[in-house]
Amino acid sequence: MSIFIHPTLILLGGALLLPWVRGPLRTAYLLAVPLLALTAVLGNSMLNGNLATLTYLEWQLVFGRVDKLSTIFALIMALVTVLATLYGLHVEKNCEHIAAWTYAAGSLGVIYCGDYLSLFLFWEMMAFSSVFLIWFRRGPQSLQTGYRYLIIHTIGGVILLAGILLRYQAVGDISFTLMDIKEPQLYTWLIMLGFGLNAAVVPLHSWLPDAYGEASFNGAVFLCAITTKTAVYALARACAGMEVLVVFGVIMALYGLVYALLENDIRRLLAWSIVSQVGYMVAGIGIGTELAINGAVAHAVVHILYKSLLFMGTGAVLYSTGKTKFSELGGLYAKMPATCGLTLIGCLSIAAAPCFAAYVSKSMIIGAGFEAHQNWAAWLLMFAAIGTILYNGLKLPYFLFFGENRCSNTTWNKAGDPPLNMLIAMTFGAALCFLVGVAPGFLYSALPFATSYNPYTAYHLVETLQLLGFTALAFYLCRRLLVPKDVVYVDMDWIYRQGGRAFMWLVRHPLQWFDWAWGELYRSFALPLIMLVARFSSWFDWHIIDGIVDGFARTVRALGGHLRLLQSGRIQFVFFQVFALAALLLITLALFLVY
Amino acid sequence: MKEVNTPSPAKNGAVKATLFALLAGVAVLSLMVENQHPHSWLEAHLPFFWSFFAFFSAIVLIGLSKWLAKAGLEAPPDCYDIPLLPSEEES
Repeated sequence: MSIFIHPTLILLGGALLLPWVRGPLRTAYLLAVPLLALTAVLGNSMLNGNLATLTYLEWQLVFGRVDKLSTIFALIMALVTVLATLYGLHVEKNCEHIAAWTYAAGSLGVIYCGDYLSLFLFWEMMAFSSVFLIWFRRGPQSLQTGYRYLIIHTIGGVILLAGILLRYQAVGDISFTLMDIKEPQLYTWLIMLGFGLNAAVVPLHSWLPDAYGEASFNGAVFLCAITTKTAVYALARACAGMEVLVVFGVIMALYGLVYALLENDIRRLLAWSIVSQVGYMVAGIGIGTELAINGAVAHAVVHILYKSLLFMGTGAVLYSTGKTKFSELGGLYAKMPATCGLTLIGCLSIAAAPCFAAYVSKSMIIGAGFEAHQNWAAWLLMFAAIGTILYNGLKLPYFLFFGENRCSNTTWNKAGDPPLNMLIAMTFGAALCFLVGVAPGFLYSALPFATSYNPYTAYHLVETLQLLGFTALAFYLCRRLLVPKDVVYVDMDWIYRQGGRAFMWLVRHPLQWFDWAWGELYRSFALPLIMLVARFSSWFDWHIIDGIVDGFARTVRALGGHLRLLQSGRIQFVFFQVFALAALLLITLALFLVY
Repeated sequence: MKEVNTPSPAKNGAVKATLFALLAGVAVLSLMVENQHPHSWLEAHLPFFWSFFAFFSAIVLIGLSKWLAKAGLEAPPDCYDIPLLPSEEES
């Protein structure tokens, strides 16, 4: 009988022990930990139901909800953790592996949890560990970018927490299940927005190109796979069928591709591509039919495969040349043939070319749109698919590996295929992209709903070849218009980045002036007044209060001195006291009798 | 040195001719495959529908993105460092 083993514990335990593992064992250990986590996920896939439960106060926390949806996401997350760790195997700094594993552990925690309390815990674990993958780039912009990323995700976390608390107040339940989307309440929107921010739903998306373009070469491989797809999982679990998501998804698909077409930075292009591709998944979840959910999940899985491969390919360029801008690269196929070939497989995969990954998933979402009579959404997604072929299938490989060589002599001399472990990881990624493309049966059997979808119909095949071929023709004719320029394209982040600067200006100028004026006012008027009051208080204390207290004390002391004489023990004083007392009594008695 | 072996013009021409021939072949192939579930009237009746769709969509997307860039999206690389207000320069 199998037992549920939480892969999060394996990754966290592995991260905790890593600093003590040294020498030749370290490489084996780095591979063993994510492989163990993957094995645990495979073992868990044999189980079903709510496992690993814990009663805390009045709530039941579920750490191991195993069903088809959680299993397929856990499998792909664990698999990409293995690949990304293999890709960064030669990274010597333990902290980078620890941050990456903690991040993946958080994602697996979210995927397996069955309640909002533990979801929030793992959600924040993801945010606070992934920021280190940006900071570890150690570039001139890394620190600022990381802080922006952290602030945005903290805001998203607070929105999510507000939704969770309001929901608990309203329904008295923390279970992480499908919400009542027919009658959405404020908490429904807040939870959806919290998830949506991590899914990079426009206009809450700017953190993604900002952060992923700035991450370390291996950190970006984890980042591109985990945050947005974990959010897609959460949306599929809680918000499936919310029609507004169709609108959000289509906007994402179109918005991302415009920026990707213009972008000059190879990794920012891929980041914009994530916004666009996650748009397909969000739209699929919004459509909400079985085919659409299956399509969204299948696309999330293959997206993780090809996007991690593409980030590995561009990461190899960054690793060897130190450059990421098209305007400083080009013609690299001659110096990086293996990287070029493997990255091309990623490009074919995202372009949905037959026999490659997205061919078997993207058409499911678009087909589901037509089937659900959401024709406008399906046509716009089809339109966006042309954009995907343009920016990722053609522009990226053409201007990076072929086209005009814009490398400086230094860049050109440094360019070369990366170390063996990086190439092996890329080869595995490319092989998986091809395998899932030619034999999607395993993927389809693992989807949440049973499906008989067949992407290899003659019509779909010829349709796709036309889309690819004639988009390539348009690219060929217009390629000069798409030559990347060394400029930036402002986005929604302009608002908060300039808002931040405006805030800093407000602090440095009006607020600082007010602080100075207040200080001067205090020094000129308030301080002398306070000193006057203090001097008066001192005089009053010294002369009046102390005078009374000291005078009283002196009187008591003098009286005490006199009384002491009476207690000296001499017989003549005793007689004196007795006779004086007797005389006093006699006088009192006499006066009493007389009056 | 930045030297890349570029294919000869003749070889280049042959590759181009092959690709154009393949493109034409794909377009012709589309006439031989029947669509049992067209999503629009045009798709059902217009020959080479997806070829036109792809070509014109790509042209529209390239034009749209370039227009948006010129309309205000494009900014210098240091746009986030340009002072918003004159007094920012002092700080």
